[in-house]
Amino acid sequence: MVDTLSLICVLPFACGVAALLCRRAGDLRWMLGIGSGTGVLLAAVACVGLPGAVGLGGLLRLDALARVLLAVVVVVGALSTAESFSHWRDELARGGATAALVGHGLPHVRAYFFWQQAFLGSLLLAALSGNLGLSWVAIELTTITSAVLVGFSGGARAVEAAWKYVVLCSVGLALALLTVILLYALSGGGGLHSLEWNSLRVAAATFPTGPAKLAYLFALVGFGTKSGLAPLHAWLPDAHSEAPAPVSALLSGVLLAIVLCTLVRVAGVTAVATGPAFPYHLLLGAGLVSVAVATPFLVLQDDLKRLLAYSSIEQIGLMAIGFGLHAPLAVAGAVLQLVVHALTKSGLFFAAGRLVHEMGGGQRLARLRGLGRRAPLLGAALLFGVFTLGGVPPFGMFFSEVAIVQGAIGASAGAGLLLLLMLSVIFAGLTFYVGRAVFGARRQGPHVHATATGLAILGLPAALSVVVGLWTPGVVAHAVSAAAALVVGGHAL
Amino acid sequence: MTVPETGLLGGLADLLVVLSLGLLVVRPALWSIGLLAAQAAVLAVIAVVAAPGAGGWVAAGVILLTKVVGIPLVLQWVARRTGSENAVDWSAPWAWLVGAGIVLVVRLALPTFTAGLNPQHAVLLGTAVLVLLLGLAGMVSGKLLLAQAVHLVVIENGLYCAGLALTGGLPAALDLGAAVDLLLVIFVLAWLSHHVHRLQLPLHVDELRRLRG
Repeated sequence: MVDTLSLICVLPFACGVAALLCRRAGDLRWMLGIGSGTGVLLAAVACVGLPGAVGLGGLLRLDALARVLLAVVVVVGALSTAESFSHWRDELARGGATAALVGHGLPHVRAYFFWQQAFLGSLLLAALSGNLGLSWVAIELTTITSAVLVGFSGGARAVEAAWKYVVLCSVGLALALLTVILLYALSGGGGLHSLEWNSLRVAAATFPTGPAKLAYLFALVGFGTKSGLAPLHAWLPDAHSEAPAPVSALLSGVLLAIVLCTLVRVAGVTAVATGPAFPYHLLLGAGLVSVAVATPFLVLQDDLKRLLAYSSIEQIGLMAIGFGLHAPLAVAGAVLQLVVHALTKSGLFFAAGRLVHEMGGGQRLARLRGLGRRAPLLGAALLFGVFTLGGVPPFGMFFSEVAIVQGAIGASAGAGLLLLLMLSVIFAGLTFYVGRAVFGARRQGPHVHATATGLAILGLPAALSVVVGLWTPGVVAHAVSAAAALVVGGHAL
Repeated sequence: MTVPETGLLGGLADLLVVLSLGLLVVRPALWSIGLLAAQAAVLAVIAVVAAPGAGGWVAAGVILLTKVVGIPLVLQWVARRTGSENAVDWSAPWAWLVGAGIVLVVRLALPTFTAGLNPQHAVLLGTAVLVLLLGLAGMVSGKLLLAQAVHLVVIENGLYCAGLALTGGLPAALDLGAAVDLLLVIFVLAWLSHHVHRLQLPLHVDELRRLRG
């Protein structure tokens, strides 16, 4: 009997294989539509009806944090799949930058969907993993599947970005494997189940402090590289800006958050052995450095997708600060930030991808001026996203950023105010560049009309983000506070 | 630094380090790939010696399939495909000096850190640290894209040794997962190398500078 959690993880892999067998684009659309719909339905059933469920012989566990991640993965995953059809329709019609591959037509679209679904499956595996060993394998699998997607266009920049991504993240994750080895050794071995998060937390009470600290340092470097924490982020702007937009949405909105949550779980284990100061202060420091490193690049950036990529470094830094503060309000803020960022950033990458296709002229913001008149829907989507990322009320990030900044000021007034200053500078930079693109003098070019599908795909993440901000539904509030309680208190649900 | 009690294992561990050093020095790409396969073969024997019983044999089987046969074949294909099988600018000329320095420092410092361990674990842990650091050195000093792929495998070999030293062998499922992941990473790098060659991009790491800022 296959359990629900395993089914949720296997479904995208099965859809990926089925995509390879589809003969017509219409079949592909139907099959992936049904697959995504079933995935969302199964995830909803699991989140609402099966809290604390286990699967795959205990390797998968739907605890409070996994529930939030599962919801984020299936929603952004379904949107990414839907947006991928628009992406490929435009690519095939344009025959532009990816002509070398697009020339092959449907077989390459099928291959794309195989890898996209495999990436989605590996994300689900990493999100639902209740075991450090499985988490490591799943995160490495996300590198493999997403690297193919980053380099999928076959262009020089994409191939270079994919190479850097694979090499840097593989070396990083190799160091994270040392964490797995050390924690397994410290827990006394005894098979794969001794690497379950709950078992590790119990065993950690007897870990000697020195090796436990060493294990955490390797995790911080390894998982920190993969989650884009500065100064280990070198691969991120390249990979996120060169990947197809629907893949960038998954990379930025979902993958970074899942890996950060894995690091937070390792911090929780380490805290039992060393006390909370060591792991959480280091996480806090890494978060502050990430926001600081991202700031100048966000102020001086003219490439739209790289701007969004650097914004992801800033956002993951903010989440790390929230988790690192290790206070209930700040951690709840970090979890809420994770949810709203995933929704907002996916919408922004979708809009950016459509802009690049429909306006022509590449990703340079200077070449996208006059958006407000030529492509009002896409311009509005960009502005909306920037205001959300900037924490403007009443969007969801206002509340999460206030919680994190308040926590930071409570911990250290100076550091908190510095964070506030950096966030203000980032908001000013983002608003200036995007505002200039939307309201600047109109460049020559055709008017871009919005389609119903486009409205739905761009509107849904935006609407969800507003709903979370204006009226946080009870189920979301409960999920966020339960996840925060898990992180702060360490008790399993 | 090999202690007498470790016998065969000590000899194999030393051989592993010598092969890692060789990978920093040997120039033609095909020779390096051969050395990598030899290193994996030694690792398979170490798995059998250090983790007796079915677990050791399973681990050795996985290593033979992936690292002795699978990965070298893929890398050889890449070398031939990209015309770099006889490339001599494999790594920076100072790489061997860094490698020798690493061996010297680790050999001198290690007894302090492994004082409480049993001799077999001490030897394996020392070897793991050395192979890991030599792999990282190779990664940093590697000039060809292919060299980075080779040294990524060396790093993973060091990690496998660390697993043996500290845990007596990781769970089989994790070993298998890590090996398959590594094989897939090499496949992806091979696919990307094919594109690098097709696009006539430089095969040297230093010249991949399109994406900045």
